[in-house]
Amino acid sequence: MSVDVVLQVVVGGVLLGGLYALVAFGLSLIYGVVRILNFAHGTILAVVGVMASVMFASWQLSPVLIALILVPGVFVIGALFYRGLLRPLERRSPLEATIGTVLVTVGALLILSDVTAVLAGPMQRNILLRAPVIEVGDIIISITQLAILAAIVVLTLAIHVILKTTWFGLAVRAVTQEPVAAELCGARSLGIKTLTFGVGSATVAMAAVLYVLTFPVDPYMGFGLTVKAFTIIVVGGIGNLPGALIVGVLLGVAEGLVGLFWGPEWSPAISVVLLLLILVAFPAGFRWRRA
Amino acid sequence: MLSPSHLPLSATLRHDRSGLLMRASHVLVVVFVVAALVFAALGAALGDTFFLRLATEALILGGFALSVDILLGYTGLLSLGHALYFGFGAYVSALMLKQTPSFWLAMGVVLVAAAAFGFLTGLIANRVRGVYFALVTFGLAQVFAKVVYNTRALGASDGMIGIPIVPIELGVVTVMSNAPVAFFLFTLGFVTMLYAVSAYLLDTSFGRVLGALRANENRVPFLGYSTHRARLAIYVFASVVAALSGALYPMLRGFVSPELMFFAASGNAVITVVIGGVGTLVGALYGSVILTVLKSVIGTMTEHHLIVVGLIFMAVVIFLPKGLMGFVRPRVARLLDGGGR
Repeated sequence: MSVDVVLQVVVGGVLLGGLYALVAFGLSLIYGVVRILNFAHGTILAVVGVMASVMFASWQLSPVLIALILVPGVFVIGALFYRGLLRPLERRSPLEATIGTVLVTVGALLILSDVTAVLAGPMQRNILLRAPVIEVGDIIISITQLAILAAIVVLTLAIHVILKTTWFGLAVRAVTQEPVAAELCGARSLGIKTLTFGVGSATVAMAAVLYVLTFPVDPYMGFGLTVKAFTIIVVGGIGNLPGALIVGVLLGVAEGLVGLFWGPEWSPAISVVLLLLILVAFPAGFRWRRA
Repeated sequence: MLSPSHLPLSATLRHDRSGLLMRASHVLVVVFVVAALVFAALGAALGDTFFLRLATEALILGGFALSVDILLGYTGLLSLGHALYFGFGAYVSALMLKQTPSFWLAMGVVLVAAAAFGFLTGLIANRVRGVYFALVTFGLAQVFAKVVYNTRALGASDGMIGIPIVPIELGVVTVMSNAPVAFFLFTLGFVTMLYAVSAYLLDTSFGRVLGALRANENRVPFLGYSTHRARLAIYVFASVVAALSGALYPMLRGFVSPELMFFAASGNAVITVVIGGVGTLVGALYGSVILTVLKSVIGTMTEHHLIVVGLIFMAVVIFLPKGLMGFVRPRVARLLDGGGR
């Protein structure tokens, strides 16, 4: 196998991994603050991706405009989903609350996937932009791919800046570290949790529009993505953005290479095996030394 | 806390609440068995095959759900991959029956193999707690299902077909696995036995340790018990119960497929327990019947049954958090208590 094929796969893997990392940021925010594992998280990408491609196909809207329409919508729906369905469960005993949130989010996953499949069809879709390509040696990179890469970098930096400089970011970090103390310092948990659920969901919606520009989406792909995102935050550390980005990119590249050398049917297994290995070696979750 | 506050509890009931609730579960099992016998008699009289076999499948899945309730309801462990053991039992049983169609040999091998397999995977799963436990059990099932799915020798994605008809020698009578009424009755007896063994085990002092684990895991070591050993022991037991239920599956359907190990199967077992009532044991059997009926009804109406299943998930969690038996059982317990005085 020639080197440039491998490099081509690596380029694709970096792109895919960057998008995984964006999905993981959203999950990391939500899990860190709300302490609910949203099983429907990846399904948001699947559904928004399908919607974006349908909007592109029927109205030829620009992807930027599609994102401007869909992202705020997902923000509102995410916040309402938390407030209406998950928040009431938090009052129950810990075991009942855990079972309840798992079942409600799994239920949301099933409903979203199936409704999308009924309305838009179960097939794979994506948005095909006619963009010029750049050839670096024998590797081909399209302008679209470069734009996606740039968008991933900008979004990561934006989330980083928001978390580090705004009051909301400070509150999010405080609640992630120590919920009770944060509340004592005036961070109102209900408002912050609702906002975080919205922001976390909106992050996935942004990733979805980028994703569908190069990779195909289908209504049922969401759950695998949730598992990948969770693997990334378990390995990279909850609330650790740079860690999640590195792990995400590594995962994307590893999937590409395993698919190339071993057969594509094995690449989805990597994240699960990685998750198992890490959790068995570090039962309390992987902890990086905090700077 | 197990009973709604608007039901005043008598002093005796409060005194031995768990014992009385368990007796109520036993009464509800008797009701279940009687209803099943009436159903079998009706089926035999009408010469039905389809509904009897569907009901047999509901019983088998009920046995599987029972094992999930042992983990979830009695120990507080939410497994999202317990179908691994159900599928394991089904595959081992299918492999054995294809070699020699001997029921007891197959069940014996499943028992031993599932105990060993449950022990090894339990060592991995029990390193973590809470949401991580749910994820690790999910991951384990996913990995093994993937391996089975890609292994030619196990039939890969097609599964294995052509499992022979098995004679089950029960001393006086021999039940053929393809006889609808007889195999239904046998499965009913088998699942009732699984219930009885589980109920007995959970009533021992070991069962009390598990209850303590569910209530507050951090305090249990101070009482001198090893939480790790107790958790591992019940995990192995639940794996064996799931595998023994799964072992009946190829006898009923004549085939096994990797879907038996998939997340959908594990999720179904959890929702069965939640519908029936977490921590009631008998709820698993009622829940399985309800879910099987719902699914076959919905399946005839629309092919997009996931929407309905998802809505059921949400509705049960929100409106019936204690499940059907969580609602019925305290009332039966009150009747028993009133009758005892």
